Amino acid sequence: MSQKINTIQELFLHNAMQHGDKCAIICNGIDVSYSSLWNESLKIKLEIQRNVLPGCGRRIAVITESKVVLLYSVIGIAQLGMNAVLISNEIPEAEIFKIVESFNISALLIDTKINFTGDMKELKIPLLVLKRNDKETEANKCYQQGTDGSAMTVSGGESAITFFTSGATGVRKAVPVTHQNIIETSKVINNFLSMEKQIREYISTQLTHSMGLRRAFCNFLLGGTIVLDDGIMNPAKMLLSIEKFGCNGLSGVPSIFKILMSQNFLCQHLSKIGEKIEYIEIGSAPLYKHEKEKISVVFPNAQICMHYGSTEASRTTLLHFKKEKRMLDTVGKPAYGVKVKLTNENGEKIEQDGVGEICVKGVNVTKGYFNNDILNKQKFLDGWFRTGDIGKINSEGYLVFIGRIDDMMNIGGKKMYPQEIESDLGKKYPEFEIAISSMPHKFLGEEPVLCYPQNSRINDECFMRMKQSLLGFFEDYKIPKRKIEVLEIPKTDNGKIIRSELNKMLHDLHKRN
Amino acid sequence: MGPDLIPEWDSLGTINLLNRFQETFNISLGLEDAAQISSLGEFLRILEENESKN
Repeated sequence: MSQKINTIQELFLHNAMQHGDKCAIICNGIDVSYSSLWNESLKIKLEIQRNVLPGCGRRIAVITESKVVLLYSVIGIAQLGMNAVLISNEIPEAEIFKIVESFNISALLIDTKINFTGDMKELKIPLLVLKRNDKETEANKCYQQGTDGSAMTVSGGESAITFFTSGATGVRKAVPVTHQNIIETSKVINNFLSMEKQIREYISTQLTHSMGLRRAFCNFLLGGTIVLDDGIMNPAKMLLSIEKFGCNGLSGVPSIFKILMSQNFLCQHLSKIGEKIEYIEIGSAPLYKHEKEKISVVFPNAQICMHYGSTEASRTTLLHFKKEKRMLDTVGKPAYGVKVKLTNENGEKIEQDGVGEICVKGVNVTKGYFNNDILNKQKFLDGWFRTGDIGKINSEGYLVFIGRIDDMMNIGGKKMYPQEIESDLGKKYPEFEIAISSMPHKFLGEEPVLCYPQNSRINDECFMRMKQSLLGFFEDYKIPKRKIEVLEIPKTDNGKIIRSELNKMLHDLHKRN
Repeated sequence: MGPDLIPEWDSLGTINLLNRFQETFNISLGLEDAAQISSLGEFLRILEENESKN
């Protein structure tokens, strides 16, 4: 792409003009061309103009079951210099009301399948119902110019999209990102994977999720095609779509890859399509080294990239599974244009060989949470975003993720992170699902315990073997002396352990006993 | 009845249901059938089809 693209609307206008008849999206088996994508977004733009006072930076919330409608909305809203606040249709209605009130939302775009039971009139903002266009019309095959005759001047540094993140902390936060953030980080990934125009990628992640939408932009920047299915992710449906639509790219969170590789009825089919996949991006939760190696084998011809970075600082580091084989126990090196440093408890930089909080600076970092001054003061210091993650940098400059500061356990005054033990046991005993947490201890304050779900069947002998495998590799205080069976290990949709919930389960158990 | 009314029915829930269904009824699901599962009614349909085959 020779022309400099700075904003979302510039990207889609460019694509509609240059290759309008090319397929941009295949969703539920239906094609949407680049011109159609642009034309439908114009309709949404006009609908907003009719109902909302003009003004750059206004926030328009979008709730839809349709991934295509979500994309029309993002582009339509961007054309007005406004901010698309993406709300998952899985968020409870009461919380949507709260978001609309707390985040000064100017209008709510919903699709015809969203049914609110409460009275939306109480919100006192326009409720715009989006009609799905499930068929490519003749009119949409040609690119249409903007119908209002005026061009909104928007710079790349302005906020374009707001994602909601709760991650493993359970607290919902609004993270606005700029046009530049979306476009520049997508370019970096495309370069890292040497992606080409012929990309046709199946995106398994929801588009309200930062990773899913960013994957879509990686493809759109190359004029590629994305393949999507609406509704609950069904891995069998996903494999069929990949085969039917000839996908050569695939992206998703680690749990999707783990499901694909662990289920017999999926494995057989996976072996057929594995060789045809050329590009993969994985992110949003950690993977063990042996899992990365397994993915490399299942997809022998793929350039595979895994990123580390939260919604607030997406794609902070990148790791190439094939080119950086020796470094699979790390999360990679800082992406182009991103700086990473480690700091101590006082926020001072740790020079070398130390463990500290991972701090990030660069175009990939949000300018700050919306409507949360307290958190902004805590998390942003001199232009650096404090991730709350603990890590170290190895002798070759690769970042090693150790754990979350919030997850730190204090065993009689000595620090430990549950991920240290989980990571080691995960490599040695991949067949068992486990988590390390803590229980109150009479003398030590707390002690590490190994938790496993009912179906894991970790008996005393197996637990003994696990403990012995840790001896000599970890300080004795870090090795769990007890195992505790739980109904299930609470996890986010991305497969991250929700430690606050697990801790609560264990503390309740302790009280009962 | 499907994911709309069963909050636990997410992507992992789909896999758990498919596995448990295959184990319980000793049925080996094809990819096409597994891909179509979006409600409990679909499971019933597969069961009925399987019974009529036997």
